[in-house]
Amino acid sequence: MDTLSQEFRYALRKLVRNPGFTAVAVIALALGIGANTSIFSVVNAVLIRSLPFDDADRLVVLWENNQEQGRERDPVSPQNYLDWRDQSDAFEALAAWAYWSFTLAGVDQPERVSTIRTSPSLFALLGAEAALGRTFTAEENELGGPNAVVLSHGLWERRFGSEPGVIGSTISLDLEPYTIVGVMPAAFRFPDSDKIGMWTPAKFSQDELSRARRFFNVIGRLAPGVSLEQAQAEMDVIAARLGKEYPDTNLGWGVAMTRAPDLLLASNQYLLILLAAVGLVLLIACANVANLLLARAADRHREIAVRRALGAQRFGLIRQLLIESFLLAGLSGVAALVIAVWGIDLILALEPGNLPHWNKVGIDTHVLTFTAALALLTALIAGIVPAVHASRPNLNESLKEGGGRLTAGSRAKGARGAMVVTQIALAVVLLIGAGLLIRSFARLLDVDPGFNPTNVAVANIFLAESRYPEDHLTVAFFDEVLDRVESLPGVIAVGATTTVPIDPVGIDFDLPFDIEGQSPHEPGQEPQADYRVVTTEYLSVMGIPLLRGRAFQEGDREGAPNVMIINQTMARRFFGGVEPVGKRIRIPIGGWFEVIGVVGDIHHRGLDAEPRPELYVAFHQQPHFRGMVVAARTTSDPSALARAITREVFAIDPDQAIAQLTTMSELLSGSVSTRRFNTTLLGGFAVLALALAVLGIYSVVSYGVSQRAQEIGVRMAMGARGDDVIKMIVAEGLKLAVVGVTIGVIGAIALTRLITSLLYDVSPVDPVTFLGVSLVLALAALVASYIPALKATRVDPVLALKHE
Amino acid sequence: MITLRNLEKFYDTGAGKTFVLRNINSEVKDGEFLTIMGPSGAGKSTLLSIIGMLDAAWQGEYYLYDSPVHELKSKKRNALNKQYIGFVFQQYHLLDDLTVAENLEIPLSYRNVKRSERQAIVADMLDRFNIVAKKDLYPSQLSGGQQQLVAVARALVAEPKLILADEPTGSLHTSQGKIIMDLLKELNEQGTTIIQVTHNEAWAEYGDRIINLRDGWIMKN
Ligand SMILES: Nc1ncnc2c1ncn2[C@@H]1O[C@H](COP(=O)(O)OP(=O)(O)O)[C@@H](O)[C@H]1O
Ligand SMILES: [Mg+2]
Repeated sequence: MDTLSQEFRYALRKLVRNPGFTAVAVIALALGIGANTSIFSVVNAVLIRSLPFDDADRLVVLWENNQEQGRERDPVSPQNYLDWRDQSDAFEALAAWAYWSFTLAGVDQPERVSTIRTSPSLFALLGAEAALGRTFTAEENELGGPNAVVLSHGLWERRFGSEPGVIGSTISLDLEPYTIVGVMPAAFRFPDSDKIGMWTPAKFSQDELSRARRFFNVIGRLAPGVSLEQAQAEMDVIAARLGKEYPDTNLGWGVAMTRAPDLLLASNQYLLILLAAVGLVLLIACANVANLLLARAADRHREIAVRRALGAQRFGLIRQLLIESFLLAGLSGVAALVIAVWGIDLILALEPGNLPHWNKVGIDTHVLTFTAALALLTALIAGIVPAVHASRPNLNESLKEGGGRLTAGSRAKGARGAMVVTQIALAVVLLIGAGLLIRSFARLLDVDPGFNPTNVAVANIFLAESRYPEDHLTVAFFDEVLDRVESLPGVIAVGATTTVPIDPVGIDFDLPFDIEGQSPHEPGQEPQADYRVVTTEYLSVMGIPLLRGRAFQEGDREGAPNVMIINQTMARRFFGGVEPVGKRIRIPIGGWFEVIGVVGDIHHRGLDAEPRPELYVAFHQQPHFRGMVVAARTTSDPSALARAITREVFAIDPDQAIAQLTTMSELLSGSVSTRRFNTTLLGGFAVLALALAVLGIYSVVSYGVSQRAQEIGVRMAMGARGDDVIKMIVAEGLKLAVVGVTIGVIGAIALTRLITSLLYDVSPVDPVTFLGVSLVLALAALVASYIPALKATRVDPVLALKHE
Repeated sequence: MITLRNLEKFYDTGAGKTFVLRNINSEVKDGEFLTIMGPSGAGKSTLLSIIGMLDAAWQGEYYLYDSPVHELKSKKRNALNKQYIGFVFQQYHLLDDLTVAENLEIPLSYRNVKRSERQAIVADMLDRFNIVAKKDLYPSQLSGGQQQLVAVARALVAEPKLILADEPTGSLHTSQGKIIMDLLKELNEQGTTIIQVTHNEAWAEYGDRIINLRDGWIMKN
């Protein structure tokens, strides 16, 4: 123990006496560890702490699936859910839930509040209890039972001033009275966003109890001791039975399930990729420090030889040298935490707001433990090779020679070269990964969305059923909104639809259809198309081009023949070269429609999603939906219109909230924000990796130059000129680069497959990226070795050849 | 071949100029074998470095044949070095990472000699010095005398007119030293001009003429 503390003090003194070395090593390691800590704190919040439920391993997410129709994970129809619940034994409990929203009125401004409709079983299933009051009773879930609502802690604070007395009071949701029965704890989040303000009982309506309407999410808790496979087997049996009993709706439908933690992992895989990437950066930093230690060990050759000659054991020497790297790593770990505080801020600033639980991202005990463990690991990785190396110098040679002989470090030189080759290879892998993402991103931004997103303001409005029970009231409301918005200054044209492209909010579903003259399909086998209700001007407001036939007109209203416009994909896929205009199509809502036109495809579900068959019907003929999105094309910045639209809606109905006010450009940029985030971070890590690798090449080559002064002097005496010396030194750097790049490229071929899911329209072995990165590294190596090469030309042969 | 006039070299040590060479006037004829002697620190090595054009910081005049070295830029000096000069050092200065044959090839690699020719020249030289068997060995595998033999061979490989040998036997036993000195004498008889530095009276006798340096001055005998 005594010797250990002495060795510790000795190591500390060494570090203090070499402030330059210590600073460079600590900075390199702190950057590497700090970057890891930052990303890990995100992983910690999103993947580790975001299922803060007891026994989260037993939580399972269930879907309906249909192999024949290629549907892997469809939501569940409420009636099927009820049968599953009643007939299965594998689950301790099941719960069905769906996203909903209500206009909360009567307190200040009306506000659209994101809500979860859920079976009362959800809370017990998650092991959650209300912080105040209670959760739901079975009675409150009955159709016709009392209306109850549970508030999130956030909403309770924000809208109700954290007043405990709200329990039992009544609030207005979509103009209906609801009793507040409970407030959840601040930490409770379900499903995963703190944007959810309320939970209400699912209370399936008669309408919703049709087995064909699949739109609820189902979560279950496995009974103790039951495996996922056993549960799957049981559900297969139940689904098969339901298929026989209700062939119209259930034939061919089965059950898919995944453990909740696996699902979380799968949907946030990019975080693991980022973590792996940042791990590579740390490895590069370790290699840098190992190199510095190796170089220093070479300088300490004689000290170590003397110590061994005096009887030091090899293990003791290794320990002494390792203590130094542990000290270094400890210092770096502390510095890394400081860097991580900035790093986390930076990540959160870059983060588009899609990360669940981003507000939990921070430094906690998990993160501290991770950082400490990483620092220890770093010390080992960076320290072990140099320590082992230094502990076995050739005794004779070191004691005999006057230092600086050419052979003294040739073994260490090999080790240093190997370190740099490793660094370059790792940097190549990272740069290629980042390059592929960047190219994907550029390709994606190049995609023509099929509509014109510039200068379009959009406002989502959901009307309360109690105030707008009849279609004609809905029509009157939206007609007036369109009129008023159209007359606002700066507005060119305005339209409305059930859902605008890119926006995940809106009424968006597909319908089966039949084409007149084509043989009808078996029920359940019909082709499907996305269903959109639009006002007369909507398509032109969005700049979706009319390719054939005519657009909607004012005359296309109730009483006139039903008309429909289809998109190009639908025309191409289902009309086989026949002119669709003039043909008739039947859909379950509204019956037969005449196709009057064909419009261009749009990338509705995102730039990376292929266009699907889409059909448009006229709002005035099919005004069945109380939720519409108003879209206004403006002459200038459309976000300026937000307040005016709010004012106009308020003027028509002061109890009506606008669920979302945004612009098409914002939606579009938001839709690529996760990609942008990944690309930016991975790009940043790659640049860091490149910088560290360049530093590595530079330090090894310049150390080589300092070691080879004598050789350079000899060569100059033999007639070498500056150019010859530069060529020789640069060639050495390039040799390392070529080996490193080759290994890196091979590694990248093996590894980029793992990021295929993040790529768009770019092959994981894209030759342009591979070639580009190789060139960049070759160039970087050239520059990194050119500087020490220049220094080499300034070697004074007279001095270099002098012997003492 | 060489004319030196008022050659001087000093170091600026901060406290003033410290002269290493003073007022050197001398002439070396083609085919001469010149010996420079003098105590340690007298400036012998410095003078060789200047003649060999490794050192450019001096004053005075230095003509190599008709070329006024004192007026030439480093490029031209390098060209003269390549054309005329071969070096032999006390510590041999062979490159330890290169084999004997590769060491011999170094001067050729800086002189636009084709690779195939280089091989031939090196083979010739190995033959001439009777070290063919050693061509793939590394310097550390040779005795000191053998290493100096290789170093002399290396100095000769580019066929210099002038060999500058700075204490070539300083690290060798007498018997090995004699082999090297006999070799230098033989080369001189074949026409190569030689300037050697030595402390050994016997080796000094191998030369035609002796210059004594003391504190940078040439002492008249
Ligand atoms: N860089 C230098 N700065 C100052 N003096 C130097 C320097 N290099 C050599 N000298 C001095 O020049 C003198 C001549 O050195 P040198 O030519 O090596 O002598 P010799 O070869 O005769 O032993 C010595 O006194 C030495 O101290
Ligand atoms: Mg000397």
